Amino acid sequence: MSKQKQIVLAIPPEAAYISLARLTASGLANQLGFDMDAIEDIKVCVSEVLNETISTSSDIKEPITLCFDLTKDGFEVLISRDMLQQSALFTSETGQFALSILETLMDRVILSNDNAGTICLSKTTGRSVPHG
Amino acid sequence: MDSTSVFMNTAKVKVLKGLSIGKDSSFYAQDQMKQLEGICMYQFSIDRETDAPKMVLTISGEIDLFAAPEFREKLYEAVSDVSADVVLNCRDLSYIDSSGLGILLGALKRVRQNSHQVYIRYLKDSIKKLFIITGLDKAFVLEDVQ
Repeated sequence: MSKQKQIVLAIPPEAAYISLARLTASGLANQLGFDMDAIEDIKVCVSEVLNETISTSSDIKEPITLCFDLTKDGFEVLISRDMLQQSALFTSETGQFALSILETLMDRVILSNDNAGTICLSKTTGRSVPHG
Repeated sequence: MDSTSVFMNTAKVKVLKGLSIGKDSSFYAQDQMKQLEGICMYQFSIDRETDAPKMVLTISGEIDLFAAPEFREKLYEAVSDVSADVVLNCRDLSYIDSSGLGILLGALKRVRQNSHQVYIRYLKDSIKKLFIITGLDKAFVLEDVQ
C-alpha cells in the first residue's frame, strides 16, 4: 500500500478513551469509502487491540499511539505503546476471543516484537466479512 | 409484568454506589449523561415476565472495556439466584466487544450451574458475526423471534 495521508492519535492508556479511538477509526474508514459492514469490522478491531493493550499492562502510564496510514485502496493502523510485552497479549479467554475477531475481520494482523509493542492492522476497501 | 428498569451512565460510577437492581427501584442519571455526551454509555434493564418461566434482561447501548466492570457486576447480580432460563433482549445493543462477550459467558456459566439456559434475542447482524467468530453461537441459544 502506498501511503497518501497519515493521521496520528495519542490517547491515555485508559478505557474511557477507547471510544474516542473507535470513533476516529470509523470516521476515517467512512471517508475512505468502506461499506458499513467493513466500518463496523474496523471499529471492532481497533477497539479489541486497545482493550488488550490497556488491560494487559495497566501499570504502564505511557500513552498509546494510533497511526492511521490512509492509502488509495484501504488503510493500515499501527497501534503502539512503549514497554508493551507482546507475549502477554491475547492470552486470556477474552484475549482469545479478541484474536479470533482480529484474524477474521482484518486482512492482515501483525504483532511485532519491537520495544514499542506495535500491532499492525490493515484492511483494503471492498472487502468485509459477511454476516453469518 | 413485574418490571425493574435501570439507566446507568458508567462514567459516573460514584452516582451508582448503593444502587441495587431490585423490584420497584429505578434510576435515571440524566444530568450525568448530558455531561458525557458521546462517551460510552449503556443501559441495562430487567423485565421479569410473570406469565412465562423466563427472566428477561434487556441490554442496550454500547458495552466496551469502559462499561465492562459495572456491566459485569449488575449482570452477575441479576442472574446469581435465578431459577429459570434467562433471555437477553439485545434489540438495542449497538456494540459489544470481547470484554462484553466474556461477561456474557460468565453469566452463562452461572445460569448453567442451576441447569438453566441463556437465550439471546434480536442480535444485530454485526454483533451476531462476533458470536459466530468466537464460537459463542454454540454456547448460547440465539433467537430471532418476532
